[in-house]
Amino acid sequence: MTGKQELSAYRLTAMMLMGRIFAAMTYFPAGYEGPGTLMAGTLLSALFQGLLMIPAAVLYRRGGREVSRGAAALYLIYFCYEMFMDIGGYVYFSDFLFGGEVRRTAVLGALVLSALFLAAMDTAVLGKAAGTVLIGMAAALLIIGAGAARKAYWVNIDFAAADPAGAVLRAAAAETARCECLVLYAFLLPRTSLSRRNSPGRTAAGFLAAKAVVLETVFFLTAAVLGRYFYHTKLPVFSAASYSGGRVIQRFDGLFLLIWCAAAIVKLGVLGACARDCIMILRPSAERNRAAALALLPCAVGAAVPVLRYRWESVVYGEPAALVFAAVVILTAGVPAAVLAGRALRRRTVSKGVRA
Amino acid sequence: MIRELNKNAAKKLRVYLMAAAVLVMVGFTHWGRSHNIDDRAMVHAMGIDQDGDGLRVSLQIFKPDGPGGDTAIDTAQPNVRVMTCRGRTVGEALQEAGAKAGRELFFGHLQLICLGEELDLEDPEELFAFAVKDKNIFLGTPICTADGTAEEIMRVRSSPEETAAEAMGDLIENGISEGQVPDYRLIDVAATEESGTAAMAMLRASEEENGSSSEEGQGGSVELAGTAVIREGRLVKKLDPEQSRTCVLMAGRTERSSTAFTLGGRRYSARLTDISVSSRVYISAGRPVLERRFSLTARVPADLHSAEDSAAAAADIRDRLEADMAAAAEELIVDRGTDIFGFFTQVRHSAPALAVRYEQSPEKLLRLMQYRFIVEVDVE
Repeated sequence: MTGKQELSAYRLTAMMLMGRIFAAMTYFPAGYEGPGTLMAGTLLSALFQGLLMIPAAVLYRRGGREVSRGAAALYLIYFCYEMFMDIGGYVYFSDFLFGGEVRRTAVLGALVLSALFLAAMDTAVLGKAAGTVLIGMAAALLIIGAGAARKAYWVNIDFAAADPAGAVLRAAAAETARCECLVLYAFLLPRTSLSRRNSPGRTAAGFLAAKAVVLETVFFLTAAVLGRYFYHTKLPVFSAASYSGGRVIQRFDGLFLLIWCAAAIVKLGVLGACARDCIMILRPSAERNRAAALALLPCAVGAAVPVLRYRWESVVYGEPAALVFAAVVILTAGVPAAVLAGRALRRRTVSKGVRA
Repeated sequence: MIRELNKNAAKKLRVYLMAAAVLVMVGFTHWGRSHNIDDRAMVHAMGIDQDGDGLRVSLQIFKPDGPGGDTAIDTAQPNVRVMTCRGRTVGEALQEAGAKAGRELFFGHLQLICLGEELDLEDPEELFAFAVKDKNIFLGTPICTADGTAEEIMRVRSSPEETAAEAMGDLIENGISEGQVPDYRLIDVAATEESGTAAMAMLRASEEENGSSSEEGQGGSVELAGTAVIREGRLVKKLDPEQSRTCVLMAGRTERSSTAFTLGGRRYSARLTDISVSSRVYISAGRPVLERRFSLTARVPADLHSAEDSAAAAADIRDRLEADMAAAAEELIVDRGTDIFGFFTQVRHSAPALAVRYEQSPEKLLRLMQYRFIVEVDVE
């Protein structure tokens, strides 16, 4: 196991929640068919994700504390892919969010430097940072929600879709594909210090419940406030924050941007730290800071190519959702299930050998 | 390298690296473009009129050396400058305006967009692209129509204590909160793009008798003239203030309104408050029906003391409102195909399967539907 400090259940949950809420605050999945089916799909996906998290929880309870080299290689590929998407997405969406003309190279450079600094830290420290950002995020969303509530018109929520059941299932699949938080759960659980009160199952249930509440509230308010504009904007939550306001502050987009930037950097740092740990599992002699740089910099260079050439739109809206969905399922449930199955097989083999 | 240093040196190095990282990030902020406030022309209101094949855009630009600024040296001095520019699109016109002003136009304080009654609104997304894509412009900026040209509205100079844009903005916001005019803002352009219809407040300018016209505007006042109903880019109907109030009430999103009623041969006015609306969609005799139920409190003049008078007043208000709503639905939806009440949105919410069937031609469904309006009035 790499890293001497251990995470608490709260910090692990904070890292997972913060990552998912950041994704929801940025943009909604391509092809969503309406707020009603999106909300129903999110609820359905929570049930499915609970099932996915079972093997990792069972493995933890049976003393599984090490990630194998083979698994580490798979996790590394996934984390690098997510870092690539997050770096490019942050730079791309910054163009829409910020009023001034800031060059994309400057945004990219600032983001990567900050994330590199965080990626070199202990996971437990990052968990603390994620906890702080999550509290800020919750406060900001509450303020934005309170400012928007008066403009919300719940009749804007509808289930009008040509194939409602299919739309709900597609939304559920898209929600799972966007949830790298599940992979974080499977990867970070072995190094988390959990008491009987905060068992793996309870941690997972708490995370899923909190995620469902936050996402449902965000989707509901966004759709209820924006009306038909919900279907026309790339950035629904930012638009809702711009439209939300009070008597003292007319609009809350500045508050949104503050939290969004903080969440982006911490999320990237968490992914970078996980990728760093994967490298150190694959090569135990690797030096920590070099491993962090080796994890993050190639992803930054890879993202820089399309995003600086203004070709990122085809990347973000052309993401292979089915492939990413399969990766999340395999890494969250498949890998721990394979380890459990391997152990069961070894026990059976050993007991057969003893009887013989 | 770090392993070779002792712990204190490593700690110092981390602090220096962190400070260097912060300085580098501060340095990165200079890579963008920033503007001094003196280099900006703050646009408070804009008017857009049709000018042949192109557009004529009138801008009210705030003058900080006027009485709206820090000092009020001469309150007779105007606090806005009105500039007119032309172009094939609004974007082109604004480029011309920026060149004329010699400053960068800044729309972060834009309080009102006024459209001339002759303006072609067939492609609202293209027309308002300059606003929707500009992060500085508030999505809640009200949009209204002029009874005449928008340039006339922009050139009205109101009291010296506030800018004309503030005065017009307050007039519209007050009208919206009192249920006199519909609430139409920049964010609603998307709905108009889809449905081809819109209902927005209408402003009318009136000149003072000895008003003079200049670059700073002309003396006069602006008043709410009712509601403009737009269909497929054209103004199809002007609703007078009474019709306007009825239509705003029918849309079901206002908290206040007012009406008149007759009792004992005398005409009284009543303020309507505590308005709650519920709707349902059902099929009756093979025909879809939209039923909208209004429950409200009517505050009547104090000299109506008796229970009989209150009951008679409530009955008159109820009958009048139901009749006016039925007539408005018949004229605006069935005859003109203008759904300015959000009825199709209601159908999408209450009967999604029905809405999906008519997604490509909602006006067909709306013409087919029956409308029932039930008003319950408590008199206070």
